[in-house]
Amino acid sequence: MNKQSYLVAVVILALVAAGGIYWYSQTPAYSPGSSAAPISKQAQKVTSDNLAAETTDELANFDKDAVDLKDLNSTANDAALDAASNGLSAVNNI
Amino acid sequence: MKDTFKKAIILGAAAAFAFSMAAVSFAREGDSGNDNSSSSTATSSDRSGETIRTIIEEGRQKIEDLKNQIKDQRDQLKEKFQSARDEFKSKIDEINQDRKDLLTSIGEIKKQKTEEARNKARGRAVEGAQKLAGNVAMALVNRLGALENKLSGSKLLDTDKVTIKAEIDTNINWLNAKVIEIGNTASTSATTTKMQVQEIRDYSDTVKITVKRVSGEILAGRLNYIVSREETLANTLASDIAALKAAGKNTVLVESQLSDAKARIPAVKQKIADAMAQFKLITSLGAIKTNYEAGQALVKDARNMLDDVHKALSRVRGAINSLRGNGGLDTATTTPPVATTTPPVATTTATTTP
Repeated sequence: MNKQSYLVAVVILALVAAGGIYWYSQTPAYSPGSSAAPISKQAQKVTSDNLAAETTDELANFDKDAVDLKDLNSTANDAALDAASNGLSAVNNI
Repeated sequence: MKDTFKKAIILGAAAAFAFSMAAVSFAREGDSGNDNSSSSTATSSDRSGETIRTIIEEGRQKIEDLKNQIKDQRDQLKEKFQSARDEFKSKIDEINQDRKDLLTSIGEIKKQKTEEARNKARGRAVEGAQKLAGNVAMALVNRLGALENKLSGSKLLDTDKVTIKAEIDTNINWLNAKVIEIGNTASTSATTTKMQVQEIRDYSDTVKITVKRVSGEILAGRLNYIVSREETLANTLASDIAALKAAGKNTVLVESQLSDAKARIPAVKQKIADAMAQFKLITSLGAIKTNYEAGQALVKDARNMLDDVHKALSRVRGAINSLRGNGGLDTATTTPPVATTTPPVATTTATTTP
């Protein structure tokens, strides 16, 4: 091949390479709604969704604990135990 | 010359084909599930994508199994708590009746006309006092048992749980031993019974202090855990925003929303720290009135503030999903969350054992 042929080949290569690089730079990292979206991107999104859902569950768990402990520490229960304790003091009158 | 030129064009076209295939494969970041290209590069990407999906699916399954295990444990603890609480309430009903019976039997002593009759009435009163004291002790044991179940499922540090559990167990063991001791005391031993009754009365105060303090610490500990989860969520959302920004999306508004949500967290942390401090001060009966109630009010405030933080972060999540152009979870491609280990809350426990 002569010099001119090499030049033509190099020009074609350079054009294709430049086109490829340009196309890659313009391609979104994550195509919205596409099932062919990159796995890492999907994992990232679902992770925040799951974290949020789990935190919502934890808030609900707190509320359940708060109700249970309020019940355990209820004024009525405290009053009954206090009354029993006072009742026991009557033993000194035996 | 013409032949050489033709060869050059063929060479260039072949190079262009190879280059474009490499560029396409690279740009898709390994995802080629819908690409039926027969090129060797794309086939390799198919395999690699499939392997990653298998690993993710296995991880997801393991996480599901773990979640189910945690749920089972939680259900068991819930059942144990309810059982102990129901027994406690049942004992409360019993001691209400025992108290009335004791007062009646003591009143009967004075009504007797002979010393012998009075001694018999005294014996019945002592038995009544023993029954009441025994049931008070058992009620306290049940109350402590219910608390111990809540402690097991709490988010306090394991070392703190061990310390508090030891304190609760000491109380339970003392009360159980006293119930046996009272049961072995003759009804004629009025003096011994009076001493035992006084010990139970004093111990009742100790248990009350422990129950209030630990109940508060459990609640504050759980709130602290939730705050750390919100912080993890905020950091994950920040990463999501960074990825969107890198992809050329306009993230100015969502960044501002996240910043606003994160700015609310320190105030919640302070409220919880203040609540925990109040609960730790419960070392006397007098402190129950002041410190327990103050701690409860702070817990209530912190819970409401935490709700606001969570809503603010949810709005950020929604905005991120909108920027992605996909309104929410892509259920067809559900992948497991990144395992996060959030440190539980450190507490130092003031012991109130007698």
